[in-house]
Amino acid sequence: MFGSSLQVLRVNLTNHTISTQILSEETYRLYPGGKALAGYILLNELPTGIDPLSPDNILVCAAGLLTGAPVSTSTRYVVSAKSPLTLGFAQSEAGGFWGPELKMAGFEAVVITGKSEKPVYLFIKDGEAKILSAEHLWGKTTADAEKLIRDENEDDKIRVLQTGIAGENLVRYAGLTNDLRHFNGRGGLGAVFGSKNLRAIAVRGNGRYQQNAADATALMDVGKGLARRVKDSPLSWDLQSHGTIGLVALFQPAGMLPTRNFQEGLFDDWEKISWKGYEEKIFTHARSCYACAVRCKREVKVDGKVSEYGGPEYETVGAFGSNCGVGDIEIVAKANELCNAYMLDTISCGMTISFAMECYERGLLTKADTDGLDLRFGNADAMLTLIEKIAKREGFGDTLAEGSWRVARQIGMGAEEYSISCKRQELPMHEARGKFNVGIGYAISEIGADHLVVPHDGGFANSESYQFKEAAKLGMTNPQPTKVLNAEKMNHFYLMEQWISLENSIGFCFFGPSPRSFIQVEEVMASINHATGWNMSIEEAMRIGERATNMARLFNLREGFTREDDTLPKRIFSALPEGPLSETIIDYDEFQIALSELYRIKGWDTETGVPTPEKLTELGLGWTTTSK
Amino acid sequence: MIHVVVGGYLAFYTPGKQRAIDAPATPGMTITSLLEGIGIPAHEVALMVLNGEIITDPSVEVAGGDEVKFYSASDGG
Repeated sequence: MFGSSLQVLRVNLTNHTISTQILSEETYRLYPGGKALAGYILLNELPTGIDPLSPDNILVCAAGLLTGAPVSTSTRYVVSAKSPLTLGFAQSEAGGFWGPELKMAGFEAVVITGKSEKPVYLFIKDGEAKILSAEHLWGKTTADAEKLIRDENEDDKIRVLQTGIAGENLVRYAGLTNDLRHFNGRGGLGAVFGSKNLRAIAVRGNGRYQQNAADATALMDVGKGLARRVKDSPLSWDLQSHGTIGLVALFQPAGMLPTRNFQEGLFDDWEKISWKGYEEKIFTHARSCYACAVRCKREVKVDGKVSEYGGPEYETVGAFGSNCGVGDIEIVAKANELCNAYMLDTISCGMTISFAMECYERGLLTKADTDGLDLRFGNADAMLTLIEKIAKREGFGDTLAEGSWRVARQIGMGAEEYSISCKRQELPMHEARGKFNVGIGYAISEIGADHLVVPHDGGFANSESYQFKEAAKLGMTNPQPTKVLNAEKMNHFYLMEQWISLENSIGFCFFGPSPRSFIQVEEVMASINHATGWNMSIEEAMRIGERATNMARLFNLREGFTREDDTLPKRIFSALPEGPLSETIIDYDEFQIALSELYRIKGWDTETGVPTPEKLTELGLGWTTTSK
Repeated sequence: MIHVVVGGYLAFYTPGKQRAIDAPATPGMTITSLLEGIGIPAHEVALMVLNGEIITDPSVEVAGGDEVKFYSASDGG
């Protein structure tokens, strides 16, 4: 077919066998990559109840239909498995160059099963793959490992997706990186790599997306138009000008900057970690993902020289900055570098350290527990020391490597309230008490709390706003304030969740398509249809997103998740102590009513949240009732 | 003059895409007319702060010496 090779590379690490599976176009149209294809494979093949760090787990690394297309922001791929952090469906997307390179090498996805006896990496080149020893890479930083792989294969254009020392040590929130600065951070997928003795998947391809597009000229015209327009949209202009770090200066005045483990929403030193401080102290230049005109990535100096690992995104600035009480952007950049060298998810790492800081300040932990560290908020040296210890599972770091939810249950004495997590995964740096649908999203998300799978309320409050007008093309009808939960708000959620799930399936970045950014709904659809020759409607595209979300839901239900797991940390149901949100709460009862309404809209049982047989049939998922 | 600070993507609409500007005050000027004068679409403003206090009514009058801050919606990222 056009737009896809339909080829899935199958690698069994137990017996070191490699094969290629060819999907049918009919199947691919229902599950066109990314989240959708990963869900389809896992739901079909992964037995229920396995230990996610055992050889039984299955890793899926899936590009999307449009990954690598000459259209800005279509760079993303998904890595998926059973999560060692949440014990549910793991899905983490990243941009960069690895996804496009996989497509250029002739594959839509790589599926890894089993466990190698010794450390290995996989090298894929132009339709061929081989398993190579990684014994010399084990214990190396990600920068050193990437250089070794490129050097020994005599090609500096090889794109390397890898975990690091944290993944080797099975830290439950170890992540993955490609090109040292693009991350599949969430869900502990680096630990799954480590559990399989798999350090990396290196890829090199000489194909080009356009060679297999149904109408390459029309597709490239869409891409050229977007490249010209990127500076003409306020949303993409802002991303290009300030990256994601601009959010600090938006959240502080709204009282929504997560501070000291979400105890507060205002941070006195906010300006030092805002774009102003970032630009003055560490910023060197902007950088892009593959063929992307937005160029939101930031490069920085650390310890006086340009870092090999890129600059911290907003999430990292929040997690190690205000959230740990550290008002020093240079320290935050150092924390970012350490996490990326060892390959830790900066969100869960920062949040687990802030959890420990709160426990320490409340007397639930002492220096006897923390290897002598005075673990008060703002102690930057202790924070940096702990990152090293966590990655290497040394001393108190070995405890924190389990993530805040598990550590809280070890400590007891009420520490459970200080793990700010949903489905065992720590919250990202968006304060749900200031945008209630983000709270709904954290609670209901199949991967645990995450900011890139949920709609953010702010753009849908005014019928004249650009974001609302774009969302109206998807069916949104009535603008709603940010801090309410009602039936209309749940309809907003339902529509936007489908659209975002589609983006995560076909390979678009959150910062590309509207409503979040500048690529209009018609241009997304044109890209799909020019690439494939299909005549896909918006409705069919939305069903792809909805289907993918339902598969992830079914995965979790199979693993024993229930409605009780669709909730928020107790702290988020109470008001912040001061600032603009000091009189705002997410009412627990209203939250439950809204959740039931959302279940109803989704075609799920309103009490249990289980998709109804009718909904599964409507989505073409009748087969799931007989899968493993 | 009224000191105006903008946050988020609202700087896209200011002269020279500046984050802080001084706008001339006129008799009877309101938040709405201040926004119009600068060229910021009111429907893109999610948060307004007048002299340190959050306000929601765009018909509030402003005068020379005031500081007004406008912020766009905060989205994911």
